[in-house]
Amino acid sequence: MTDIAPPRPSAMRPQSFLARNPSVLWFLLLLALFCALVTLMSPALGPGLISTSFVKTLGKTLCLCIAALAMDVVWGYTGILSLGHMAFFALGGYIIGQWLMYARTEEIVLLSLASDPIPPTAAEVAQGVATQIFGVVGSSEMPAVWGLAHSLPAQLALIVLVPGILAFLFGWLAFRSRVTGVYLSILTQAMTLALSLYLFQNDSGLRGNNGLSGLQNLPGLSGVGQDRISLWFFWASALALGLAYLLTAWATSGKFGSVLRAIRDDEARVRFLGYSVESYKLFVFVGAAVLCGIAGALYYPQAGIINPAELARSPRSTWPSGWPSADAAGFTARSSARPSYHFCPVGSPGGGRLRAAWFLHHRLGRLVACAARPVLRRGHTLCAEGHRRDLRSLAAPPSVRPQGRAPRPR
Amino acid sequence: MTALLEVSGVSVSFDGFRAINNLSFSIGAAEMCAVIGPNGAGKTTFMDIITGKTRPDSGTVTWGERSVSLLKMSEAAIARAGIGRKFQRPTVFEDQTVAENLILALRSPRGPIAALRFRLSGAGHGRVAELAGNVGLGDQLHRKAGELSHGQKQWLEIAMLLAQEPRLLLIDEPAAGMTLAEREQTTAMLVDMAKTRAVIVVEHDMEFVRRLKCRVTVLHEGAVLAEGSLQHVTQDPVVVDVYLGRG
Repeated sequence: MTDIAPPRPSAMRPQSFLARNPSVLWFLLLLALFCALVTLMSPALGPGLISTSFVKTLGKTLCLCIAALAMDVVWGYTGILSLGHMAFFALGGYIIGQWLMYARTEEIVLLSLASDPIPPTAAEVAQGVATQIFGVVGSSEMPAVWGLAHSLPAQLALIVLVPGILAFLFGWLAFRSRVTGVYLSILTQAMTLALSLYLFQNDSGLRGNNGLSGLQNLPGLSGVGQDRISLWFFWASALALGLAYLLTAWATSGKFGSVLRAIRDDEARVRFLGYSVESYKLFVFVGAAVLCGIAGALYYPQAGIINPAELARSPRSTWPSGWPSADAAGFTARSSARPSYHFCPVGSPGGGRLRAAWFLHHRLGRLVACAARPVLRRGHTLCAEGHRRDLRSLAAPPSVRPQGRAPRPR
Repeated sequence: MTALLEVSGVSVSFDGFRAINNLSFSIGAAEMCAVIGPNGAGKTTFMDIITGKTRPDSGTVTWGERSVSLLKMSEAAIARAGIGRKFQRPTVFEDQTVAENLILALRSPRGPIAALRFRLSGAGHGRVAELAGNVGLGDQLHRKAGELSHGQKQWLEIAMLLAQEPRLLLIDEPAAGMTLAEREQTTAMLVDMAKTRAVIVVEHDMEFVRRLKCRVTVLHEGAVLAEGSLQHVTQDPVVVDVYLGRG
């Protein structure tokens, strides 16, 4: 029994969150600089050194970074390898897509009916919108899931609520039964597949394999060019990423993060300390799902199209889990100076510029995850080899994937 | 004195094997009891039942002044009710510092929201430093628990147990892997702990049990074979036959 040493301040953490984690400020500063740089080079507010589509690619990359942050908390901190969070990402895209498509189609219908001698009734407008949207799947009825599609606030709320509630139900059932490890991963993958198979059906009410398209056009802003809109979405994505980074860094820096890491390392011991492991897992799983939903809602207006293939290609749902693992592998391999061009497919079509975009699109996600390491530094060290193989097998990145290339209807 | 923990008529089978057979046991609020028995006597299963890890097939386990049943509670709820457990091998969170380990164990609201809002108070700082100092880790607060020696990890886990402020401590082989000096320290600490709370020690080492000077319960084939002072049970011919006689 030795004498009691006075506590040193650093371990006891009396300072403010940012003072304890200066890397958060550095990250935010770098993000702001990056935004300024892109803005100054953009076609809308600069000389146009980079194209509008490249601004969109960068914006989409930032959205994927948000998903990567969510995955780092779920997998890196809590040890739950979820392959289902890209489904929540896609759900966010579908939900914002509903409003974008509805409101935009309504505009077009109103315009085409404006020349009629008698002003159209609300029912006529609704019928016109339904025919326009669902003609492609041979229907002219507005499905029930589009009941709130006319209302932006309602759809924005659903972006948070639908992934959140789905993740809650799924997580509650899975965690309560103490499903862990690879079994949980398989369950989450099954959930993703089930959801995508459901969405593939024409009568599920989300246009089957056609998905939702024309999402890059903002209702009421037909006079504003894509160069400008792309920049707005880029800024919004950067803002969301900054906030998500702050939120996850704050949540994981204190005792909450300590509990999560403890759960990852020895779940049973955490229970004997009196913590309800299941509620923590559920909390994190749902929180990450909401974050992914928001990221998806920002991603798909920049992609312009969403269809069930976004969920169904299984490598897709493993993308975000590829980042932390590749990142962890990159870090552990740092001393051996292993080249880390993990995500640049050798034979991607489209020439040098597209390849550069593809490279940045994925490389940047990794870079941000790397920058995130000082705070989010306890990712799992798992082999990235398998993920890399999966990613190479992808024929083309979504940004250059031909829009008509949807799976055959069944 | 009414019992703090009352286990009565508990039985549990694993695939037909009766690990615990109609076992009854009780302990008061400030009392020490040692549980001994040969391998496979059901010592660990007995602890698993109390901490909620294993559900018995029959019998009752009641806790506290209001005699609440522990059988319907989760492991976490039982731990929150005031039962702390120390495992045989040290189970500290190796990736976290000594201070973080102690803060995790410190008595506080256990929900996710509470953990998000948690800020260590001034009194909390003092408590962490005091707990670490008590077990000789006062100057190791910032070290990763994984870097500590085996003995230090044992001490850290004991400090974590104390930080939980349990009313009942279940301790599995505290002397395992300790030097003679450390054993003496451990004995003194356990005796000290038992002044204010209930302590159940599961131990193989008879010499260690002798030093504890407490009531001894001998388990054999999942049931209580004998109970009383160490001297009393070691003179019991049945105990000598099944346990001590084996040398």
